Amino acid sequence: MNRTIFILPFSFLLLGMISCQPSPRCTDRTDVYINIGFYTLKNGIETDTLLTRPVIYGIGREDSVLTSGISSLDKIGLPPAPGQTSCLFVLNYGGQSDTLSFSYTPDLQFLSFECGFIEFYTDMEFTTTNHLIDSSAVTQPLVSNNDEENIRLYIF
Amino acid sequence: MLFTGLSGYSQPDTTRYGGIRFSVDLARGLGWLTKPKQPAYELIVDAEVKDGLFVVAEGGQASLTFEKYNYNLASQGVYGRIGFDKNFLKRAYNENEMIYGGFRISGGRFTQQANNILIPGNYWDDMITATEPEDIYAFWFEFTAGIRAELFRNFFIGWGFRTRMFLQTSDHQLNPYFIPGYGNTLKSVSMGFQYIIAYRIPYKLKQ
Repeated sequence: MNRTIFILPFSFLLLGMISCQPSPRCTDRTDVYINIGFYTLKNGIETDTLLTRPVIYGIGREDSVLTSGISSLDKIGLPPAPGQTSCLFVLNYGGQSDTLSFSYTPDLQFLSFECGFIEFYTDMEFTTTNHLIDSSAVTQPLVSNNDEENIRLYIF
Repeated sequence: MLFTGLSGYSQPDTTRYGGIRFSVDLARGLGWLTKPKQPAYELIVDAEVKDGLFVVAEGGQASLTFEKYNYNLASQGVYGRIGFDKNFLKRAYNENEMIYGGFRISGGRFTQQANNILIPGNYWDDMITATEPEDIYAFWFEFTAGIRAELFRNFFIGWGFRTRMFLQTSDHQLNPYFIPGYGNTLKSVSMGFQYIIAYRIPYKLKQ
């Protein structure tokens, strides 16, 4: 048997193994937001609502307004506080304000070697005061890294 | 005179020799040299029980430390495999080269933990956390193929590749990301390579 047949592929494979280097790059979405849509309900008919110059900030982060520079919006993604089981936001609009209260269970997930870990939030519950918000509905209690709407807020 | 001469003629020994062969996987050793924090080794013992049929036992240890800006991973453990290889090469009685295919039943036990996990706050404070160490058992099957060449008498080199599949693991909180002996679990089928040097202790095969 001609041993060259066996040895040559061995050498090439060895070189290939040494020269191969992985180049990891994260292509998954790694940010997680509670996605909220604004609606009005009149005579049982639901329509999208555009809020002009709303002010939204986190309680404890009054120095940083999430909506600064935004002229109007009909939906918004609010960041949950990582590692916590709740967070509070204030929605100020048209001279009235409501406190938005979120509670959830943090769930650490391994996303990929490239991206690392991500925190989802399960069993989300939502309560609010009702000065400008008429009512609300949790449509998706799992808060994850997609664009799916989690909460519908109905404005008076 | 003629008959005397014939009686002095001796027949060449055409006995087929098998052997018990001890191998080291150089791929693991090279990995150890380039990444000293990730020690790994693998030893293989095979024995030819019938002409061209080898019983194989493999065992090793491996660890992975994977460091990124937003997390560190650590996984370490031991593994073992048993199975067989079939040599598909037609050989003369004194040739020991192999082109083989085979099958393994494999299992391992390992510990995994993630540290310095950074979850960006995006508005709130960032969180740094870690997972608890977990002991996990894993089982899987492998199909193997490769070649072996006898460089010198009873000294072999070779290479082979393997396909790992049907992975099962014991209960765990965090999905395993690296299993010693199996590799990256994020793919449904894991591929692997071996680069072998081996020494064989020969014995006569039953004809």
